[in-house]
Amino acid sequence: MDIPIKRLPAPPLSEATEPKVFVPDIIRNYPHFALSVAQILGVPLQIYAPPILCGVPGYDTEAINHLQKERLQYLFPGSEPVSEIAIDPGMIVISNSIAEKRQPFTVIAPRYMTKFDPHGKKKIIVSLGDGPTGLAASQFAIWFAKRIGFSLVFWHTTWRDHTVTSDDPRDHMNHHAKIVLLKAQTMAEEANVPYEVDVRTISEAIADGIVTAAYDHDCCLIVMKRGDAVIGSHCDSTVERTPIPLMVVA
Amino acid sequence: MKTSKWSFLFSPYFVMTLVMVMYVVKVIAKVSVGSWINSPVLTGDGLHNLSDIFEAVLVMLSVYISRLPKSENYPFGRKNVESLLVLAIGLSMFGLTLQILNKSSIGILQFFPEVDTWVRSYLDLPTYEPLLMGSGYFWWVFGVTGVSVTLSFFVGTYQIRIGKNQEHPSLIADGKETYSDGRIEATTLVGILSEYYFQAPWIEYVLGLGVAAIVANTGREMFLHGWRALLQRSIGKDKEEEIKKIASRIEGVNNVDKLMTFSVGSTAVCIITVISRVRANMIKHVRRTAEVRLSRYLKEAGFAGHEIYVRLQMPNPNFYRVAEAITKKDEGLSIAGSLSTATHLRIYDIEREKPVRATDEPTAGLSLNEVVALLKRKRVTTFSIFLADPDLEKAVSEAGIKFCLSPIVKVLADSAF
Repeated sequence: MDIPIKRLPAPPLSEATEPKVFVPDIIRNYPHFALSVAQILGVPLQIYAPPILCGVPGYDTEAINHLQKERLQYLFPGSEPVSEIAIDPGMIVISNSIAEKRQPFTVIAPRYMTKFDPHGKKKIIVSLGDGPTGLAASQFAIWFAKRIGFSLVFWHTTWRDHTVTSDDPRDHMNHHAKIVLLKAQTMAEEANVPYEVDVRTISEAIADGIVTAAYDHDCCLIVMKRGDAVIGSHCDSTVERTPIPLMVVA
Repeated sequence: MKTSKWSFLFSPYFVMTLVMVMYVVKVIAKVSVGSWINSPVLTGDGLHNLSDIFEAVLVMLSVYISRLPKSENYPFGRKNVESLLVLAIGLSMFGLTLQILNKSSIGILQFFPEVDTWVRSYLDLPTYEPLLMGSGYFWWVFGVTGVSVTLSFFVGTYQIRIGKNQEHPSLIADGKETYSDGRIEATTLVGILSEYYFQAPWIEYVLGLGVAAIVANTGREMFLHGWRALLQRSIGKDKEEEIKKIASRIEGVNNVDKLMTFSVGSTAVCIITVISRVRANMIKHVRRTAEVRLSRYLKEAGFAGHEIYVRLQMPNPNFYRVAEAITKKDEGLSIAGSLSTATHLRIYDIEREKPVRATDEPTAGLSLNEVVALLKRKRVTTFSIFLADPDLEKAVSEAGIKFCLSPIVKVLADSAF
């Protein structure tokens, strides 16, 4: 699929950033899930609708667009058709398949859910590492959680340091990971977003670990950012393994 | 596990040994003092305690058997042996109820000689033996009965506590029976006191009727508990509804297909089949979460142990075909505005609400009837196009095919594969 995308330089994410929810397909659970995300954010849902290739006597492009808008409004109240999209920091695309690839925009893979947070859990888990990707994911998650009134769980899994005798996993974190966690906590406090911290020593694959933690904390969304690994990423593995919706931050 | 020198206090075998010692003392004391003062309740209760000693041996045996590990032949272990004993104790308590009723009724009847004669003309009742009560006997009787009451309540409560702590329903049931013994003995004590201070032995018999009702109710509860466990009755509709609700809330679960619950001893067994479309590498997460959440719930619901078996099943493929009229050009694809601008019919095979295959059938040169015939031949159930066309809609609908207007001109196939 080739969606026309305007690649313009975007301003950084801030409190003033207006979210935009976009769904490229009106198939499967995507539009219903996207609609619930748009509703909770209080913004219209944008649905990709390309121009008609072959005109019909009596119908110009405007008339076709009007019909599309009317029908989408009937099916998904509060939605609007768009034939191209412009990337900005608040843009959230809803699609499982798009989340599997590296993209310049934020994507939520709804997995099998037809609605965002149908059980009112109001909790989001953010995966942190020892690099900048965890901080970028935290920044977006804090902005998103603040906007919708959710709380956060900062999750980190660490290798056991055999020189440390303590049973507290936090004592086994490396220096960089501790700084990342501290920064994420500070950002959440500054934004007044409630949070919990969950640090575990590694016992399974990292992707499985975050899914397990998301279930344990009863979270409705996992937030991650793709790193710059040469082959694969924790994000790719998590997309493949999570039945819980996953947000991949741009 | 750390053990202390007092850990033997938590051993079911120690508890039951204590119970046996208590009953031996009780039998000797009650039968001798009861015969001395002609108290039918006290003597009868003393004799009943003889069977309690035998019962205590059975409880020890059932505890031993229930603790044997699971095996291929006993996949859920042998905990139900305790349910068998609970059932038997429940039944024996009905017998005890009849015994108390009988003796109390005879005691009451002797205050109404005419009714007594009339009843005896129909029933062969035992002779009434009056209670001998005087200052020479009082302290002996009071002492034996008072100590018995205290022992029964203390040991009964201890048995129930350890039974719950160690997950042994037979110990709990036996503890309840011991506690019921305490009630009977307390009634006797009240009778003794009322006779001694108010010369009113009838109070014992009236209270006896009340105790009979309490014992019958305890017996009924135990009988039902044992019966339900032995016949593997479900753990209850309300609990099953809650289990379904918990499972349905798990991300990745569509709904609950089948649920089977029953108890083995005090262990709840839950076999649940959920409908889920998750991929193979997601199954373990859904299964683990279901196990964690259901075990938490079953513990809260009062089950000492649990066995949870979670099965995941794909939803029914629900195979059907849909078709779109499309315009196919070098620039790409879009839904056709009308049949005249359509170049092809794109026919999709849908499984589990997802297109899994599509073919393009050219429509150039085909008449309306030929298009409808093509849709019929391909077993299409739903046909869509962008603009309304009354003639097309009529012809398609008459062929038994659902006619739809596409909401947007984007073809399904563009994103489906």
